Amino acid sequence: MKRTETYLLNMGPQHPSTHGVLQVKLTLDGERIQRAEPVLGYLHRGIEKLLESRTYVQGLPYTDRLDYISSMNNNFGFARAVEELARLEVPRRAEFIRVIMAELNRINSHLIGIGTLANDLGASTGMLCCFRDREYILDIFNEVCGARQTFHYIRIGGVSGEFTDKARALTESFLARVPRFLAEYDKLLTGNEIFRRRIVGISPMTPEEALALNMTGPNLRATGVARDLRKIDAYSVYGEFDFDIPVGTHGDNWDRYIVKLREIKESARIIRQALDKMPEGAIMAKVPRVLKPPAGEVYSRTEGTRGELGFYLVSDGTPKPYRVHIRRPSFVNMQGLDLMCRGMLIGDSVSAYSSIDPIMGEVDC
Amino acid sequence: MKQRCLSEGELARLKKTFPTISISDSTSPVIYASCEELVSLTEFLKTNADFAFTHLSCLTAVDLKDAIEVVYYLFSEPLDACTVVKVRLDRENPEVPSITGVFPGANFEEREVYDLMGVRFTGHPDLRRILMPEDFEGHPLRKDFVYKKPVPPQAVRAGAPREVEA
Amino acid sequence: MELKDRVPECLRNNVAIVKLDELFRWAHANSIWPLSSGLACCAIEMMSTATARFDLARFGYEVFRPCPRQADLLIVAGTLTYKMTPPLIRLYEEMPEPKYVIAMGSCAIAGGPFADSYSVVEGVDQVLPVDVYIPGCPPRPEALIDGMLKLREKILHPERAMTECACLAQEAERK
Repeated sequence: MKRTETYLLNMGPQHPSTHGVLQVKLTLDGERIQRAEPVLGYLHRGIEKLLESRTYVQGLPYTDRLDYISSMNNNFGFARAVEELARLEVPRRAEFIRVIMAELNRINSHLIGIGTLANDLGASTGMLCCFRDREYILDIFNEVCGARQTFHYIRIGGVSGEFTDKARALTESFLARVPRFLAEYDKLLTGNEIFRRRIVGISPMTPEEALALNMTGPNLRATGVARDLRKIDAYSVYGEFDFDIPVGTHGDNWDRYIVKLREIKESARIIRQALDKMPEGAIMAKVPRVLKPPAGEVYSRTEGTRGELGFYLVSDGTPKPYRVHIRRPSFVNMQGLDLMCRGMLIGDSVSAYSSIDPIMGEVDC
Repeated sequence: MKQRCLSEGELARLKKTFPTISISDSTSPVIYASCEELVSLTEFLKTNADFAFTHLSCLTAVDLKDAIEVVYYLFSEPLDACTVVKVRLDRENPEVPSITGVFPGANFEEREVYDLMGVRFTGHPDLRRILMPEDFEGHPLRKDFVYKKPVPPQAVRAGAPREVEA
Repeated sequence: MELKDRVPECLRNNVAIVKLDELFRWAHANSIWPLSSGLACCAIEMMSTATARFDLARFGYEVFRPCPRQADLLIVAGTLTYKMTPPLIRLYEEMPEPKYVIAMGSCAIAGGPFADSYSVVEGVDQVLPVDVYIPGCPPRPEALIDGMLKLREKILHPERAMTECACLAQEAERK
């Protein structure tokens, strides 16, 4: 009589494909995964506690280091929350610059997501291509704020520097490049038989499952639910742009990949319109030197690159926040990992980690 | 365009079903619930067709020095509205029923609140520390948390003689 | 008679005489294999360094190994927390000697912006011996390349790099 026993396999926190310091405890039956339990906290830096001892303005750079490959979106979310709390009006030009930066950063982040997925499946060339194209975005950021990764560009009340003519020229030339490199990825990855076989039908997820687990962002949209806060809330000036929400059908790794690819196209569309419509004017509101928002609380959410990024701020009228809580999309999405890995082979779990696209700085906060 | 809060009529209807809840008067009303009715309240808000608050966006806790408040932010797409439910807990012995039965996605967030704020969620399927090490003492996000950093362990330096096992 | 004088006249142009130590150091310094281990933000810059634009391969350092047994350089790229300390020490101890450590970014140097947090170790040098420190938050890829070239100097000319003891003694004298 055949008898099988389950056994426990530990992956991480040092593993080439766990994207940072994620540890996953896999319960295996042969090569099939029965349960995948993520073990978090290896990068828990206590940002929420640190923010309580910083002023609002000092707190902003910490959001750069949350989800460190979409810093602009985090800056945006935090700045919006503080502005709502302090009832600040942001100049219209600043809002347009913010949207351009947030969308450029979304492309940047999705490029890393696609690149690392390709790399984890053995297609190192894919990663090299994505990182090459990402450098052109970093050039634009470098031009407007001088940093490559932790920007601190979107400030409370506006943005820190003017969107110069050179930055505009760089953005234009990047936009011209987008269809070219997307076509290249289609040739290199999308149409690649080996790549397809590794991810089509792997780790599928139904919309009900994803909604029950509060998943958001590309992971949710891949299952077919067109929920995007840029449309629902139409915060900032997103309501003035014409763009679609790409959705998948099966919620498998392939759909998560395709949704990211299409979102790059949509983001480029938004940037194009924002460049054309951008008005002249101030880029910074009048912000008091010591920012003391009135006592109260606010929960402000924006569409980060990985889903719904929420900042919950409680103010007691002093220059420092009383309590800050950050709703990190990667952290909540991690709950889906177990479901995605069940019944899959060990080798496929790697593509599940990549396509769920967690950034450990954000997961662990 | 921000989501609206629940209107007075809707809140009155809610109050009829759950007479013991109290609602704060302000531009953004907050529903204060007791521990006993929390699960049934959230379930009602989620499943009732008139409300349909199906998305739990944020679950957290605030240390108010004399009490601990657990905060739930719920969003409803059909109503395009947002509601805040709060539960006030005793600071010495904070215990609240888990809502993982209603929102399975609350699992990690409840574990996080337990880890960092020390609120116990009764009925949670797997209530363990999630971010801090298992043997960590205290709850960092409490206002009276004081902590002396330990001396980290040392690696064996290159070239140093290794201890020979007996 | 010096060793080089023993080489027959006709072979003088074809024979190079070096000390074995120096030969190994030369080979080692020009083909460092870093461990592909990233803790946080700096890891992304480390990845960018290895890719097309900055091309770490120009210096022979692109062979990022995921397994510590095959690596001889640990780049600590990111914030070190107390929870991560035991795994990091294990990685370091599993690496074969001679091995080197680069502390990349302000978190790895002294805790950076998170120095007063309850869960962050204030610098990896509390845990591991560090050879090169690269400041920045995160350091640009050029800075990482510069750091690795500094490490090459250190490997090639160990006598030039001041030892930790000598540095401490000098500091004590100054006080």
